[in-house]
Amino acid sequence: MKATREFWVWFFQRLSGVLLVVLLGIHFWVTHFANLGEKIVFIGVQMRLQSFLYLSVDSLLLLLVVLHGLNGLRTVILDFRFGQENIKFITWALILVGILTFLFGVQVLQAFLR
Amino acid sequence: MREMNFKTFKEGRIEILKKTLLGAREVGMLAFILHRITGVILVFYLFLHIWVMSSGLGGSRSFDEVLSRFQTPFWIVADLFLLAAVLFHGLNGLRLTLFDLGIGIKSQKLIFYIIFGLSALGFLVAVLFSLPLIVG
Repeated sequence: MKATREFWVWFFQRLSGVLLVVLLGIHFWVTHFANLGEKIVFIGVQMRLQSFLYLSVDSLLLLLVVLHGLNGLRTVILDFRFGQENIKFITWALILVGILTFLFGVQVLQAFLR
Repeated sequence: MREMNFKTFKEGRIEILKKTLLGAREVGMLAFILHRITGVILVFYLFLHIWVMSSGLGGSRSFDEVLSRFQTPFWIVADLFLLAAVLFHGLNGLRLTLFDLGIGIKSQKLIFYIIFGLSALGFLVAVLFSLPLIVG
């Protein structure tokens, strides 16, 4: 059972990684390069997020980047003895951090939707 | 005399890690180390990014005030290095995914040079694009 779970964790890391390459590409292009030199201001972000498509990109990006990043961090921690000895605690701590970060991120996105 | 003992899988991994951190002679090891270092940097940047964006919770004035502080030449240069980390991590991640699919393992060194070159190229293009914002 544990081996199966680790397989899906590994599979998710790869799948989310490929998706992140695409989503981040869009995110960078729209935010920084499409209107190069234009200052980033509240009203600009608000306008970009009016588009349902771009809001979906940013929301999915938030979800995947939190999962991919913290899961990756877990893999790095697992390379050290300290991590291997405390992996249960570390996993739960990272899950908690992930949930809080995601919820906070959703709040931040909503600030631009009013 | 030192006692002979068999290492567990975990101990073996730790030993490999120590060796790679001390000196990477193999391209694959270099890729491994860079992938991890950039990955950890990007996770910490993620928190920083959400935190900076959260100034939007205080409304338009607080957001614009905070963001203007990060749109100086110094921070644009910092952003460019961050982009370099993203490019390398993303492209090397695709390289690893290909290997997991059983593609290109034999050409792993060549593929490393290609993705490293592409990262450098992407970085340089972004630098050129951003030059007016840095020096102008």
